[in-house]
Amino acid sequence: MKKILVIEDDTLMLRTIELILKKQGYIVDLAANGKDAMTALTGNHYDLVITDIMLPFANGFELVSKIKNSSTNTNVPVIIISAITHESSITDGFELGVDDYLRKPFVPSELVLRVNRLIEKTAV
Amino acid sequence: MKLGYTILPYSWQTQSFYDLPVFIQGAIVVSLLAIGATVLVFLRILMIRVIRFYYRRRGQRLRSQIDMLIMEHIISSEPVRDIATIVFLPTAAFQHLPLHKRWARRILVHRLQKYRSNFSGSVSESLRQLYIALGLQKDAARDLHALSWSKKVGALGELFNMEIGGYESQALHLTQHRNRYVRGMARCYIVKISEDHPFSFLDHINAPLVSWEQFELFKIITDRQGLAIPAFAKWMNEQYHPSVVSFSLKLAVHFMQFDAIPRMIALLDSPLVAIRAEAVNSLGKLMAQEAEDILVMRYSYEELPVQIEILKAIGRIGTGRYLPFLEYIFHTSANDFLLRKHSAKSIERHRFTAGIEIEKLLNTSAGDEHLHLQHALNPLIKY
Repeated sequence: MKKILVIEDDTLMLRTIELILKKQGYIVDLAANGKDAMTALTGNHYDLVITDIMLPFANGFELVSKIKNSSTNTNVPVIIISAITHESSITDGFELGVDDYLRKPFVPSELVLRVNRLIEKTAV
Repeated sequence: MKLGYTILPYSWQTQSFYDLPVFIQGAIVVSLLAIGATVLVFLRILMIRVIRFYYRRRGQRLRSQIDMLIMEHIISSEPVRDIATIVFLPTAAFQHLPLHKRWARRILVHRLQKYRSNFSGSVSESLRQLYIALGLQKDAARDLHALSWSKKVGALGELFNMEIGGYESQALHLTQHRNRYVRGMARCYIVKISEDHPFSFLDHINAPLVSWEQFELFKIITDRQGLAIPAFAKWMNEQYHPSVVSFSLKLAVHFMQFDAIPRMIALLDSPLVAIRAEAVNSLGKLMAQEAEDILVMRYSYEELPVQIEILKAIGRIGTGRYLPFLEYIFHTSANDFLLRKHSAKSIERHRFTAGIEIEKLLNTSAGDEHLHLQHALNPLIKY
């Protein structure tokens, strides 16, 4: 089973995304801040990372940059979910290697489609 | 009266309170009052904390119940992608909550709003319909008439977030409220919800529509789909508040209402510098070629903010007819950095039509002139 790390400081969103993804058969790990996310990423391999931008301790971009430079998760696709819709933020994300960007508010089925697509693409 | 044997020093214990010097008596009274007040404050803080703890625990229980219901009945069963075909509403499941109590309804409403801010599409619409089906808007409707302004703002905010129509007339009335937050929220509600007259509040504005309020309204107007956009030239008139005129200018530019150009030109005679400057700015953004001659003619007797806008507008209109004018201002405004900077930038805006002239100017200029021109020509520097 594929393993996904969800990083989000809003507990409600974190639990909701967890539920949506678990329903699709994924194993979901949760992190509520940048520090917890780094700990999780150090010891584990993930098939996908979903992160917010505004996070305590380390923001989403810092995390993406660390993921892409890490030894274990370099090729892990990353989806950013954020209410920040400023174009420069989105392009900054893609420049760092983000694979997809989902704007809040979003449709749950859209998240599922994007996650499935990226995971299938990586598996190939 | 013998007082306080236990708290007074040993040497005083044989004396009565009334035998003590007056200033000592005063000090004792003040000290006792202070101790009493501290104890009272402490007890009050303790009581507030206990009550809050109780409310939080009670709320947490209900919140987790609500979350479970929303996840189970709405998010997990996101049934259709077409919003128009939502037929199933899990109203019965939510009826088990203690919704006869106001605090429970408040928590549910907050939760629904929070979910709606994170999810769109059919989930968002289901949450809205659930809100209506449970009759949760009744509290907000009642609060529109509350004495407290914060309750009014809360009610308007709730109806705004849940996109509930039917309260436009009350909201329109509240756009005249003495409290600015009530006025602001009422305007947002009208613009977002009203089908027939979303801009009617502009006719009645007497207090300034500050930049932040304009920004919020602008965002709501531009985000709202299917909104019938009126001709904003109607409000470009001195009978309206200057901030309304300014806001209308911004909207006319955004919606590219070229029909408003004659009204914008008429505003150039406004006694207010800010309005003249904004009218010039709008003419530039609409690339109103018919205004170019008028702007150049006015330049010499206008005030600095308007002059700057004229220079910017000529750059934006970019016909090239007034490139010599821009060059003249560039050469003669050595003492005014802003004029030189904006004339240089406007010269640079002509690069596609007058590249040779700009090159010549760059080669013939020296010192500060050359530096300013180079600065304006650098595409990496934005201002």
